Amino acid sequence: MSPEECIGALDGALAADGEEFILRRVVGTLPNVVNIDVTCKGWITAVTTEQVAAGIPETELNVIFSPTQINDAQWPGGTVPALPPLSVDQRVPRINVDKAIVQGRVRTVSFVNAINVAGELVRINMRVKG
Amino acid sequence: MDNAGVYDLAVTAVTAPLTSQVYTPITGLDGISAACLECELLGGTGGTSIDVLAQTSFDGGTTWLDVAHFTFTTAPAKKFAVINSLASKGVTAYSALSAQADAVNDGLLGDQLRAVISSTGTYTNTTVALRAHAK
Repeated sequence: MSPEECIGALDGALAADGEEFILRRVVGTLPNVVNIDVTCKGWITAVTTEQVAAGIPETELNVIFSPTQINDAQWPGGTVPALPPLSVDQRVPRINVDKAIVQGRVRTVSFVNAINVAGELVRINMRVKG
Repeated sequence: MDNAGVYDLAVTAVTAPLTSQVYTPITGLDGISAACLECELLGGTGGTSIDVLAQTSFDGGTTWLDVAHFTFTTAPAKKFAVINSLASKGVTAYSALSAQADAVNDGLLGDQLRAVISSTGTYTNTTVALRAHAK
């Protein structure tokens, strides 16, 4: 499958069965903070029994989503570019830094697996805690 | 335009002095006819001045032209500017805005926007945000 086909297939599934959540990057220190938000559509589930057995807290949630909404919003906006050869994909949520408002509650990103196909970000498997 | 919406050109904490710090551009703004730019300083203690430039490009990001220049000192503030590229405008010489406080080059909108931030003095607990509503 091409990257476009991967993203299209995931978007199709999420459009039918996914739920909205807000991915949030917080910049600054209280009280002078600014939130950079993007509303995404994801497949949100409780952790599996296998994950619990492996030591992942049962209070965490799995979130699977595509980069479509992130790409559309160009989230998180302008950033300081890394010096070559470094090239950080700013679209990938940061563990223990970025937040997600999932099912009405602010949670912290605890795990991210960014899946690339042919060098293009096509899917993000994320866990959130809190 | 196809991708109308609000974009964050730069949201950043400011501490040590910045010298024309360039931020990655917002691209794909083909068909943009206007941009409402909002620039905000939160905090502002400890430093001297902050200059935020909004720039645009007509050549895919090779060269950049100043669209608006927002200036701040040590007080929290929110400023905005509206750039309209639909209104007719006679031939106008381009003027860089880095030396002109709180000025705009009205009508100057390419298909990319970016932020450039400079500051003097060392700020504490200060955040700057520049957003554009492209339409």
